Amino acid sequence: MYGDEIVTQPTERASSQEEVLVALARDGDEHAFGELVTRYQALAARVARFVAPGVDVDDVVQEAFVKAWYAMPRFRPGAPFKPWICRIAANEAKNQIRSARRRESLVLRETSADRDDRSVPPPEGQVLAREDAEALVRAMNRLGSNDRLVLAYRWLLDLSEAEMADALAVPAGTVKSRLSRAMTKLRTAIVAEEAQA
Amino acid sequence: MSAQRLSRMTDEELGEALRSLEPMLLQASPPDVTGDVGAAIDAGRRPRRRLSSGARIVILVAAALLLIATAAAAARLVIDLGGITIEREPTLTTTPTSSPIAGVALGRSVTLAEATAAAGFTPVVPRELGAPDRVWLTSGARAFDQPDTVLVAMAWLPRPGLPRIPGTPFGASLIEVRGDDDVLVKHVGAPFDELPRTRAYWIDTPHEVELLTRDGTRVFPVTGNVLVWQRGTLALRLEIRLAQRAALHLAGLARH
Repeated sequence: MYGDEIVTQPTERASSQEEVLVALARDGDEHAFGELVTRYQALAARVARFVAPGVDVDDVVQEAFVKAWYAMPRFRPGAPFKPWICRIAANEAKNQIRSARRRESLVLRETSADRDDRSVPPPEGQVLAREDAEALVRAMNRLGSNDRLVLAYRWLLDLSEAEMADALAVPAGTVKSRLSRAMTKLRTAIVAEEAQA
Repeated sequence: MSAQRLSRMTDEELGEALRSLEPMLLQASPPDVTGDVGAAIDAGRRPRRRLSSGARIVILVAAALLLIATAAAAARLVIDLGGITIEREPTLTTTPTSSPIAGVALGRSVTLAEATAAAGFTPVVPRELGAPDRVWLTSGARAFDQPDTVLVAMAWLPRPGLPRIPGTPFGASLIEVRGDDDVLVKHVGAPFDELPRTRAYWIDTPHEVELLTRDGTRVFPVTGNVLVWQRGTLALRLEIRLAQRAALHLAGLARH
């Protein structure tokens, strides 16, 4: 009965699939949860790297998902999984830097072109000049993990304001102010780094 | 040059620059932990227990030996006392979203008895200060895998010997936090003292404090002198206009 079929867009289908997976996982279906792990482990790793560079990312991600499994019964039905797992991964990454008793920095990859001339225009496909990237990394390393997290959620992971509110566990109305504050701090850090250089 | 170029960017352009930065970062290949997570669940392993707050007092100094680490990064200091964290931020510029801490953001106003009953712990009240004139109670942002972090705040009105903290109606405020959520984060630009043998920290320069509770996030300028310390499972923050010796005495940390 094609005429009666509801036409859905791919994103709607993906969302609906995810709701099913989450519902099954809440009921204890390990296979469904495994599918969620496969879908979101790369995202969780990106969160961990920005919050706590230098931590054992595999360990953070694994622990985050094990915690998520045991917390699944308390997961609110219908709530999005993505910001929830972001928050768990961020918390786990913070725990690890506390346990490791040190905080490491974001580090740029070294390339042969970079070694030859640091001011050359970026290679094709790379829009940020090495010199700018270095300045930006130094500035990011001056920020606290909470500010880095806000910037990562907005600019790297493309979380919506509602998702950011969930991931940061703050009211939706405060997301903009936290982002604005983190951007201001980043700008201040960029200038301060230049002054020290 | 880079700083000028980056500074001139709009927020949108700076955000795009951040987006472009990620592929240039040194990072390991994406994880594949699906099998390991499944095995851990099959084995019935509970997640690792978090260390107790007492065991988690850490002083983190950024690794100066890393390729990109700078002198400024090396000077970065993060002190984690459980619910209260102090972050030293050499580039701090104060952009508070609220007037000096005055109670509204500290949760609901309660009596000391109500706070004691609801918080699940008995707040430490310095004998010399006597019963607080105001008490508030709030908790950390919603927690999903751990007990809520609870914050009890108390304040005393000014009186002889207890001068008013500029910008506030109070002569002293004491915040006590039990739990591991970062509920109160202090951002301090200037160097501050770690007091020997006490695991206490004394901050006598203007700084700001960020409160992250279930009521939202707010940033306040701090104009008083602040002592932060830990007692058992509690992280405590005393703000007064008095000198360090008086603060230590009130906190019960003075050496006799």
